[in-house]
Amino acid sequence: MKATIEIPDDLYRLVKAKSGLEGRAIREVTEDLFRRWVAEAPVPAGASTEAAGAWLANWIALADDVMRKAPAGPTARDHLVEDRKRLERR
Amino acid sequence: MPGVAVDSSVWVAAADPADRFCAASRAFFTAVVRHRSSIHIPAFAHVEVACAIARRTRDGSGARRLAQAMLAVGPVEEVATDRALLARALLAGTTAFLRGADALFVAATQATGATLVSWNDELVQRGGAVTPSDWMAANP
Repeated sequence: MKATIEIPDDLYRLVKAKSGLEGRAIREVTEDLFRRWVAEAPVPAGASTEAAGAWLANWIALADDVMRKAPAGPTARDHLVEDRKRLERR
Repeated sequence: MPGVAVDSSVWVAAADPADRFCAASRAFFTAVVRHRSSIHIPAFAHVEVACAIARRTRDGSGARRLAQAMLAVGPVEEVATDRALLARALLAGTTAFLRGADALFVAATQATGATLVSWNDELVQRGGAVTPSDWMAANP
């Protein structure tokens, strides 16, 4: 069957260049990638402790980086509480 | 071990070192990972978290990256905010007199059979939630 998909221009240029270097048609490369992806075992929910630990470590490191330049003032939780209360009578 | 549904209050507290519950929230997530529990959130939660972080930091780009990282490959599972979840939220919220966003967390908790964890007093008092500290005490 035929399927039409949209991909970013820059990605398509890279795919076209690499497939040309390897002497393969883009259709052939695409089909190969789809077949390999379908054959992959699904990632189990909650995966391994190691993977979950890495996810948490990355998230906390990113949070520290994002929060480093936060100005003084109410905490993010204060903002959240205020958001959730905004319709209540003052 | 059954999963946990984690309210936005715990996420933003864990993200913000200036929050008095930051250390406890990070310790909670560490314990959840150690117990190999899945983490459930209603599908709008990352938006709520990102907006609170953006308002705190005035850094929208950073807040979006943090929200996307919540959903990166890891233990977090989103619960779709479909008609079924909204029906549950409608019933839970109007029965326990919850705020709308809180009702969606209660609904996601019911839908997954998880334990709801929150720093929000109303969710603890009327929504069946436990605090991160209480969850850790019950799950050493």
